[in-house]
Amino acid sequence: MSLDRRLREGLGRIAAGIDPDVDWHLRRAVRGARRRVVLRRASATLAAAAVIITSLVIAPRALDALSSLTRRPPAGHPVPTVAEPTTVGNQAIAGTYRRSVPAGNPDVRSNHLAGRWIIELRPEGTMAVTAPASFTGVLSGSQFQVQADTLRTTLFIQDVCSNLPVPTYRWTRVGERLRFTPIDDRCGARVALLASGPWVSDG
Amino acid sequence: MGLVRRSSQRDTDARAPVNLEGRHEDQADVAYAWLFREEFAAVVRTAFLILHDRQEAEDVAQEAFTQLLVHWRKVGRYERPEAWVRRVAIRLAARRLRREQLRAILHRSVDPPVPTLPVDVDLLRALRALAPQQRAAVALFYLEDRPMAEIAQILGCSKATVKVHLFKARKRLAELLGEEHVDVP
Repeated sequence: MSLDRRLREGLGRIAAGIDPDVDWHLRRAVRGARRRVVLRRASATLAAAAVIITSLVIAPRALDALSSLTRRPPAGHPVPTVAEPTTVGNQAIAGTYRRSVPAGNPDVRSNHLAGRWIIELRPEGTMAVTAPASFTGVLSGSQFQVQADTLRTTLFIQDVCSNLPVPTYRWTRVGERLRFTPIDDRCGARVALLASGPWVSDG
Repeated sequence: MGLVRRSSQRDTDARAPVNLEGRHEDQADVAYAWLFREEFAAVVRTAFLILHDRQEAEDVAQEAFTQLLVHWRKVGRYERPEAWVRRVAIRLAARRLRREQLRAILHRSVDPPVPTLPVDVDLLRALRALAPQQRAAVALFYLEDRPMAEIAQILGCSKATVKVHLFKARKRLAELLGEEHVDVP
């Protein structure tokens, strides 16, 4: 007998012994398929519900959190800039002012602040500072913000008063004289510079 | 020898459709039931020649037909949905066989029992020496009497690959059975 003939006849005989209960299997297949379809639809419904819940509940909160992050500084770190400028408020004290800082205060001495200072407060909230030659600290990029009778500023925040909160001062102006009174400033050098005497306007 | 081939009158088949769980049966149910009755046993037999275990073969065929029903809306429109279900069954059988072979190596199990029927036991044992794809090619060619192109479609390979499978299978079987190996055209 050839191999081909043996294969055809032999496999045929083997297959003839396999006679499954087709109807029983058909019912089982139908049940199994329906179960899978139901499960698949349930999964799709759950997934859709999850998407809806996420978009309705979680997403707005996440957006709020994100936007507040952009508004608020990280905790425990000094604010590098003053919040949105209030040009109307800033306008109240905008101008150029001078004063001479005496050398008596220890904070003045240790930071070489003694001498003639000029500050230019611009309406948009930037602050140009001219220091005596002895002072070597960072002055560029200083800003301020006026709200009613208070002023906040980033002066000295990069070195002399680093790692301290942004200070708040009360300002008063009488004629050509501008005075700052500290409400909250932990930096002695800045208090000595800004609040130890009046600033005189250049006119 | 081989299977009774499907006629083209699937929708007008005289046999009553199976009662699908009391649900109203539409044309799709009737077509699926018709295909199931026509092809299920053949798929089980082919799977048996790959797995050599009747229960496993029935499970594999069952799973393939369940998948067919899940995808019936799409596959039912194919020209030959029976080729799709065979392909799934053979893939499942090959995967299960590889798993069983690995398990047998791990546990040093003995060969599965052969059917207690007057069959060519030597042939059945020799088939076990073939790779899953070779077993599938032999079953489709010799048992189901399918042409090369159709076997290639079911196995998801080219006709040339099917010829290689069959050539190697015949060569190996001839060695094991002490038969002369003559390649078929």
